[in-house]
Amino acid sequence: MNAPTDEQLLADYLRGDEAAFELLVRRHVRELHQFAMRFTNDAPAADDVVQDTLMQLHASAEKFDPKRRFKPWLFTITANKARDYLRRRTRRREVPIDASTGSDKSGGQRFVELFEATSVAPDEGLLVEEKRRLVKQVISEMPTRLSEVLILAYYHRFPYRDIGEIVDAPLGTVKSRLHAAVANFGEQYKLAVAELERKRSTS
Amino acid sequence: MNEDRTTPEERLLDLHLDRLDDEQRVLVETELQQDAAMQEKSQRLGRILKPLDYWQPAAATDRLADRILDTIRGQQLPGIIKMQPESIDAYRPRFLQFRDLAAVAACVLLLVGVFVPGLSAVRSRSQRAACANNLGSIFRGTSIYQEVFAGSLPFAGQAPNAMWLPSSDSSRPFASNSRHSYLLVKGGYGPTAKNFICPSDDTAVPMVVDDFTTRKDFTRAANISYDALNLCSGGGPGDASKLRPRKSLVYMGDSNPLFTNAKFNPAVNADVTNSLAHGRGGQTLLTLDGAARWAKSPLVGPNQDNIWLAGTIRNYTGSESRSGTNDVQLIPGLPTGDVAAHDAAAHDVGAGNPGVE
Repeated sequence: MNAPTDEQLLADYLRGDEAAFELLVRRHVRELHQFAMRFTNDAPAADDVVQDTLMQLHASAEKFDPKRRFKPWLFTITANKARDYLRRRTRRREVPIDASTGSDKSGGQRFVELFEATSVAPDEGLLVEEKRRLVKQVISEMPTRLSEVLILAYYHRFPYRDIGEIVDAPLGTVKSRLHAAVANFGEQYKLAVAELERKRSTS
Repeated sequence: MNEDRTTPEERLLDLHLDRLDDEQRVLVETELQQDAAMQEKSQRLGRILKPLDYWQPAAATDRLADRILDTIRGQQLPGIIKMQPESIDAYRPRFLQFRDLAAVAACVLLLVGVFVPGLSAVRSRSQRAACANNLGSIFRGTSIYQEVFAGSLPFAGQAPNAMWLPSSDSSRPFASNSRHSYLLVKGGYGPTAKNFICPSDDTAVPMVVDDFTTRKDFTRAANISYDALNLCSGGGPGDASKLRPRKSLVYMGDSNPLFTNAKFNPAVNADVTNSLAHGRGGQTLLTLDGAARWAKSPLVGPNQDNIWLAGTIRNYTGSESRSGTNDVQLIPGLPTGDVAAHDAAAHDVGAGNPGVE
């Protein structure tokens, strides 16, 4: 027997089946938490974001449009909560995405430059833990509009269409943001590696 | 795929992010095989994306789910909201009447007649894509292992004088080649037991997770569909503890057709025979640059090396090693559970293992 779909579980919950809601929570809590962790780079904040998301799901489940798919909808709520958290935390400046990472136009210059020989960071001398720390740093410093697309595409393997739904952007914009995000990551990671190597050599 | 609307670089990104359907993937992989510059770009992009794999946040525990559920119950948040009956019906199948069943049956018959031949091809391509995904996961684990162990491939230690095929010679211990790649599973470097199962291999079953920590190898041959680079050479050129392999070296792939049921089959023509996986039309191969590609011949690479053979050797007893560091031979893993007659296999070949933390 096939496991019930998310949409079936939500419908069951709306008919009064609390167990269906619990199953939905347990099914998605891990992936939501990973998403929130990468989005906020803060474990307690990720817990809060996931909790807020699931509480909103509990309270507002009737707003779900049965014509849509559940999972992108759930991630939309999570992304909104995570963005709210980031705004509250830092009120950080949003860098226009075409400032250093290409524009929203597909195939921005930076993305093409990414394939040049000098674009690859020489990180062979770094420990795994050092690389992990640099990746966290680079993604957390990336403009939110880019980092969210990169996280959804790379780590969660969402199709472009679902990402568009989650970040509320048309397909072309999603693609160009992903290109810009990859270019931004490649560029900033290379700079971060160089900075770490420089600090090492001077210490 | 509409190639007019995407640049080669965009297609490469989609390939690396698994965003292509089977047909698109085959097209891009064909492009890659024919265009050395694109191959180079693909490798660069792979190296740019690779660091992202290092950030794997700790998984949330069940306690988070418990806490959230308790909070919801404790706060007595607005209860279950009743949905309108017509909306509920969207999820519920209604009982079918006879005419509905007849219509469905007719449609099914029509679709079967029209699409079954095509479905077979789609299924085949889908299996190849899933196979490449498996090998991609194994590559990522191998990369992390290499980071930890100074560039060495997963290596469970040498077994002096050992054979990689079961032998009647009781003076020669048996040492399965699969014990090396098993380190990726046991050490938690990323690939799961399922990643070692080719989707076209109907007889294979993933190893049971509970057995991971107590064993030094897969439980049985059915747990590993893929054959790997011959590393059972006793300090010869295949000694992975010293190996700094060329990035284009084939490391793993679909099974070598020269060996079936733990025996060498001399009747197979190694020059023209593909792996028995995927309908003998070719084999998925993983190279150490991270590419998992479909090859329609066992002769691969710039030197047309035959991946089924060690050098030019044509007959195998299980003692043969590769002819040099650039030679590739994929050999089967035969975990000791399948060669009970060879108790020598129980020797602790992993003792003093330089590859285990």
